[in-house]
Amino acid sequence: MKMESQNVITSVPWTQGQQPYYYWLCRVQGIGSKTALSLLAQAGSPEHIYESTEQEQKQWRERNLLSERQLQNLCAARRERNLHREHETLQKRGISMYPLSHPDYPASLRLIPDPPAVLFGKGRLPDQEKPSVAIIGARSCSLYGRTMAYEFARALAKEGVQIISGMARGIDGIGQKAALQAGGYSCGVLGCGVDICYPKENQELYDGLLKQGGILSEYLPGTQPKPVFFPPRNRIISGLADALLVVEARQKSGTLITVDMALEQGREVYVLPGRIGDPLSQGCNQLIAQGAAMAFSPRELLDNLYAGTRLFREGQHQNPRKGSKPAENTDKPQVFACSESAGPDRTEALTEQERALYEVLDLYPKGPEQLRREYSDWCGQSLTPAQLMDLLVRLCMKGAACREPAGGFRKNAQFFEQNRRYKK
Amino acid sequence: MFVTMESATLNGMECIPVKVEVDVAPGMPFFEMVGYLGSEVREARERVRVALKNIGVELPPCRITVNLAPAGVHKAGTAFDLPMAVGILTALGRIPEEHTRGILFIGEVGLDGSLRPVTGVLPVVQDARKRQLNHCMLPKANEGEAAVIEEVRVTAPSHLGEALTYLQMDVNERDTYLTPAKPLLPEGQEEEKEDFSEVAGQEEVRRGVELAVAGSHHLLMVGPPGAGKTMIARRIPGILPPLTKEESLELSAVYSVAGKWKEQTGLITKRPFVSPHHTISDQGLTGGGRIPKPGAVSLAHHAVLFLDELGEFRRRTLDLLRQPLEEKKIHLSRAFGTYTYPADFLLVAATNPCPCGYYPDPLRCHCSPREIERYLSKISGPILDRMDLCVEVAPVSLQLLSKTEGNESSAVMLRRILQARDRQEKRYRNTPYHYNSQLSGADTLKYCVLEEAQKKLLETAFHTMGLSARAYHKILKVARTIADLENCDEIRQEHLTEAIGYRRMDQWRGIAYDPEKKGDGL
Repeated sequence: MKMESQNVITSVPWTQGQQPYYYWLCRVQGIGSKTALSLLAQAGSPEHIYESTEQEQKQWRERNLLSERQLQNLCAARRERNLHREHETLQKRGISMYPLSHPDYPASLRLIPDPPAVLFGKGRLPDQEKPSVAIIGARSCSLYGRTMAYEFARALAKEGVQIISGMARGIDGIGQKAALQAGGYSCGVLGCGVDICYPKENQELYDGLLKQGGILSEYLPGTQPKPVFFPPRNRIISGLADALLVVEARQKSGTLITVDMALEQGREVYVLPGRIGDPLSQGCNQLIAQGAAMAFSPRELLDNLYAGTRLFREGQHQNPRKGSKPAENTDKPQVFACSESAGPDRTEALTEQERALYEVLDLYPKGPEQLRREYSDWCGQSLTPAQLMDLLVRLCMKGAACREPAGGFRKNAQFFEQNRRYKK
Repeated sequence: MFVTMESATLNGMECIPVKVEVDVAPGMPFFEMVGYLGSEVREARERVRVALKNIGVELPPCRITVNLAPAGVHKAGTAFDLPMAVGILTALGRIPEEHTRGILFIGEVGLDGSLRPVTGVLPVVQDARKRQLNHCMLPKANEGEAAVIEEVRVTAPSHLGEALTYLQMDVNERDTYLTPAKPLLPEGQEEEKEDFSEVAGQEEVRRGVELAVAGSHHLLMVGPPGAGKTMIARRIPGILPPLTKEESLELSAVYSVAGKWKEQTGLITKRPFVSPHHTISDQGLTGGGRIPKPGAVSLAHHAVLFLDELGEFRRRTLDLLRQPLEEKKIHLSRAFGTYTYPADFLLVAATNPCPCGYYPDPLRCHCSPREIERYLSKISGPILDRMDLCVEVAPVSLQLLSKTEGNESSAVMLRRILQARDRQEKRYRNTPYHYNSQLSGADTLKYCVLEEAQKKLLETAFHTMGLSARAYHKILKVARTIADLENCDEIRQEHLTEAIGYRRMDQWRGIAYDPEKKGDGL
């Protein structure tokens, strides 16, 4: 159910000639989405705002559409003369601009309670005809979360679902990467200018999105990321999607804030359950307790969201797992029944003890004392500190484990992903 | 009349003999002191004059000239009061000159004639003995300190009057008036024995600490607050081999110069635990002042210097540790000369792994990787370079905390350490080395022999674990110590891998510090 929003003025018609003025309006200090939209409603077009008379401005001030400060800034900004040149530089940098009234402005976003007045973008916008799912979750995720995000995103993308997220570390980035690797489309909404790659470690993803997907932001190009920018951008992520998939979330996290926004916008929320006591699943399990739907597999998610809709129109439906059995077998997680070979089992190169220690390791780092304890719980043997260090160093040298600079050892994720063929 | 009294001054730890020359001649009243004197030395003129009056000695009108030779060496301190007073009395004929020969005089004189203690007595008396000057006169309060040197006869009056009487008496009888001091026997130094049996669990750290002591490797502990880093560090002196007589004398001399000699306890027999707060000044750490006094690094000579909260120390201050860590001594240059103090300490440091302190606990640590990186790279590069071992201190669980038995005691650990030290003594018998950590250059490869298989293992480790080239030799030395602790002649694979495991800090320095760049410091 999509809700009507109070402020939407789709009656302000858009023309190409207005673009420079829209860009100018964005750059006026202190005027955000809400103010811009209400001014546009009064003035009819940004050009009119630019050319407005003192009397009109006084009226706007009296009607409290603007604060005193904003009015001053507006007047100061009106002295700018080279609007067209500014706009040209924007275009030259390959950055597109979509005001609310632009025909290409995402329709789903228009109807949220507080839509961004203007969107900046690089690459392609999400296709409004195709389904979109936002995949979000914790930044420091566990191996479980990482794997699930990857598998879900990959499976959804293969079915033609567009993956929306924030390009952040952890779940966001993994989901988007998986979508691109599967040949699908992904859109990253940023808490900074579209020309800035944040976080830096996701540079590869950023480049990939430029080629194969899209990048959006309501902030001016060149804006550096600030913590305050991230909650508002989350509303855009959920606004662009049909549904939200929460993979891992701590009890008090930004992810849960995004969930609230999604609910406000009337989007469906699907949650991956997790282990009780695992702090990274606390938020998720809490949402389920509050009534969110559980996601057990990509197949099920797709069925729930899109059964009988355009996705399953004849000829468009593709089975991502060619040659595998239909989804009746419920004891093994469907996702892993994939017959795609992932290469030889690299754990064969490990000794018995090393393999046991490898099992005990996780993606998040654990300290040596904890590892010794869990090792002896796992296989009944106890190790001296020297013996443990010996095994850990060997695992590191074989590429199966990594040591965190700040402390602790963890599984090497690449080793694990390349080794994902499960033996019975 | 012209007389000369024997005295001495300290230039850092170096004792310089000083001759106090006193000349008294008839003429207009005149009292002049020369010899490159500090202001407190000049003030001796007033002190001595008034003190003499107060013991009943009236100075006749005469010209008194005092020279402290050698005149080119700067004199400081108040120890020259006594030799000056005695010199003047002798020059005036009140004391027979033969009675003052062969005696070293030091001491401060109060206006009432009482003799006050001075610092640095121990090294001065040691030096006197070396010069065959086997009789010293000094204030009563310094008696115990001087008596430590058994071969020297110590006469310790408490008042200038007593000194005068003593020196006027016949040489054969005067010792019944002021009997020579007997050396103080240290009384029960066995108070508060902090033992490792009180530490529950923490096997990783115990192992690390044992290695550190056995081979004299500098140790870094990383862990959350409250995990017991300080508790463990405090117990390290208890597993250090006992001080030898020479080490005890050396260390006590430093404390004496620093003014920290305690009359009640005498010679230092227990290795001190020096733990400066991270707000300590440069001078406090390395020593300093206009006339430099020893700093924390010297007070930890032959002992443990513990730097808690390493990341909180000023980087510049930590960088000062570079020289003492390399050379085992510290040179302080001043206008009056260069002062050298010994500084052969075992460095133990502790730090949190991240700003909140609880990494890698996923329940409590919410620090971002950037914050962690920034926190760790704040720690001075040169210090990390010289750390040989890095252990992780885990938070102790509640069950372990209540476990009072079954924890290895310091005595057991010490036994193993002594055995490892023994091996090292034998190995380095005709070399300047005492510990594995001291090996340098080609000697490292000579004494830490690896077989082909081990060499390959080390190579692989370098490529996969991001170790720096400096780490190579350090790993060898630590592996050698591990083998020694296990009573093994050859270095085995498991010794190597364990040694590699202690080198975590190589990954810390990414952005902030480049060891190749000269003049580091952001």
